[in-house]
Amino acid sequence: MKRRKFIIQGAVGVAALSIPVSCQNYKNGEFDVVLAQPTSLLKIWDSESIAKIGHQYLLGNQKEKTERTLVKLLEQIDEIEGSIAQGLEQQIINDFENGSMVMVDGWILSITEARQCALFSVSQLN
Amino acid sequence: MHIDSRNLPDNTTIEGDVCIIGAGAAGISMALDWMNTPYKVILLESGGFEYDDKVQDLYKGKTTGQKYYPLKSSRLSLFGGTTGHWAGMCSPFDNIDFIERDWVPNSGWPISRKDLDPFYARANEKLKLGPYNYNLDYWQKEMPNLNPFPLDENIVWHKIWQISPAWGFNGGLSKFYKEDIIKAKNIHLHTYATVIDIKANENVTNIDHVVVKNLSGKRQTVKAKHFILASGAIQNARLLLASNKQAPKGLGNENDIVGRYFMEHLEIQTAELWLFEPFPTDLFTFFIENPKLWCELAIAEKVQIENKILNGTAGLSPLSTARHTKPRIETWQDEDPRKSVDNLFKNWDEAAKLAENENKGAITRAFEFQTRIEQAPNPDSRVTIGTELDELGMPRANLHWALTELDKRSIRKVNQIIGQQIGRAGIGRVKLKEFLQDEKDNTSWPEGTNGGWHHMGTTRMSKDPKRGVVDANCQVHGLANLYVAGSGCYATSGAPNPTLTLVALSLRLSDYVKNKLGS
Repeated sequence: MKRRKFIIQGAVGVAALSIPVSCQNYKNGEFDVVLAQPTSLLKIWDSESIAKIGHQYLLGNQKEKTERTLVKLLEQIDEIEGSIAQGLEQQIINDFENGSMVMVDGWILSITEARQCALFSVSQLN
Repeated sequence: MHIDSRNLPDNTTIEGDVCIIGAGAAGISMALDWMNTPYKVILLESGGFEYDDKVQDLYKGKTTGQKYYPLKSSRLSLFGGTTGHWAGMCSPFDNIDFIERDWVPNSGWPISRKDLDPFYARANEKLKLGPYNYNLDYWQKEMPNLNPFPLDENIVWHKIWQISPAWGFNGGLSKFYKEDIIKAKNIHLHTYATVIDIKANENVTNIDHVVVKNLSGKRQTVKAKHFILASGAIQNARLLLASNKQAPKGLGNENDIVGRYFMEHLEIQTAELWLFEPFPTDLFTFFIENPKLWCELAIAEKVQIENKILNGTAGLSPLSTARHTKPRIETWQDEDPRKSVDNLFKNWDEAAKLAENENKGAITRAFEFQTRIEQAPNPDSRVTIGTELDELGMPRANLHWALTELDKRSIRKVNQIIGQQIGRAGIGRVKLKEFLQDEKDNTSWPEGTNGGWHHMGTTRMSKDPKRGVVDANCQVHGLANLYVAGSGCYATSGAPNPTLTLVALSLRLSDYVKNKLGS
């Protein structure tokens, strides 16, 4: 509990640093930390907001509530030139193009980035 | 020529070729169009050149249904009319606004955008606007830094407004045209001349005269070959309904349509846009010192059809200020329009001050969407007359403003579509306000549900007398020489502000009456 609290409080404004730390708690190397890094959203939200959105997304999508499920779903995306980050970026644009969106707390999000938030949220709990 | 009606002897009879009732945007535009013609035009204005609270009080009335502004302060009764409060925003209606849409009950005009285009060009001149060109490409060559968002314009496009210099801050149309009208030999402007009754011939097929009264107790009779109501959508309906001695339901109201289908533009804070990076553009900035142009995000016609929604657009305001800005429906509740204006500006100043301290970080790249959307024509949204009389003995107007589920669903969808396209462009994300988040809720409205002070539709246009008060030429069905000028004739209300279209429509009517007189 103490550790989680530290991450949430200490991560405000430095989310890019805190996400990898939190993800490494989950058996190191089991998934690429960028899966839990909604890069674009980090430009407008702090990590606390990302965790909250992720949590809210999971409240409406209970079947995806485990880290394993989320990682599996996110790993389905195609890498671009070996880069999973670029693959995620493209997938998010594709989601908006195809209408694969969710509304979480009013935010119109791509399903992929919502899952990234959810993975971040779950990873913190772990 | 100017005549103060209070100085005329009681029971004077005035005669002319054309009588225009109301000297606001519609009435002044038409009067200008008749200048230097061989015809004598009687232009009747209820107020004077300056605000007079006793005259303004004639506009007082009750409102029910969706919360609305006080009727007394939602328009102005003086020469120049409500342009004294006008924000000057002008943009033509879109093609889709004129067509019958199967998902919008009672939609469809008997004229098209193409029919109005030549008159839009003339309206642009009357309102002192730039060229009749509302394409972004054109304005990008004229003005620097009008960078649009990288959106698919087949889905969400950038709709342009021109801002008239004859806006309220500059005194409205009064300041620009008062001298011209007074100097015009064939235009007889009567101020303090409130029309309280319209008298038809015995068969009620032709108007014989109108009865004018003022607060000094004097009456006059105005006889003309043609009579044009140009007093605004609420007052025009009131006058027709109150002229009920020869036609028990009111003139032009055999089919119980006068006053119905009152429409407003819903102008509501609907969403937040958070950009990932600064986006340098002046396209969405309203330069208060010398505004020329405005832009809003609009939904393409085919997307409206696919989604079966009303036409609406979203304008951007900096979120840091918008967060502290109270809804106008809250600040504009004083019966005295001057006090309501003061309250509005006071709140805007307060909001700007509060925002100064908070304008740091990501919020500097955040905006609030104000969605302006047409209101679906609704027969239950209506102006009626009550039993209470004003100082001149005329029944006061009542307004019941009623919205529909289509209005709410459309507002949500417009914002969702824009949110999707913003996401697709990778430039930011959109957050809907709480009242739009529940997809199943299409009936509740937030406290900040504003109207734009745009009164439309109470004397709607239709070829069929059972469906409209006026025909395609704005002539009242069944009355050969009575016409309505203005936004009351709108069958649907479009997304843009109404003034440019109402002036275009009035100039079209002007041509029609000239042709009739000529023949």
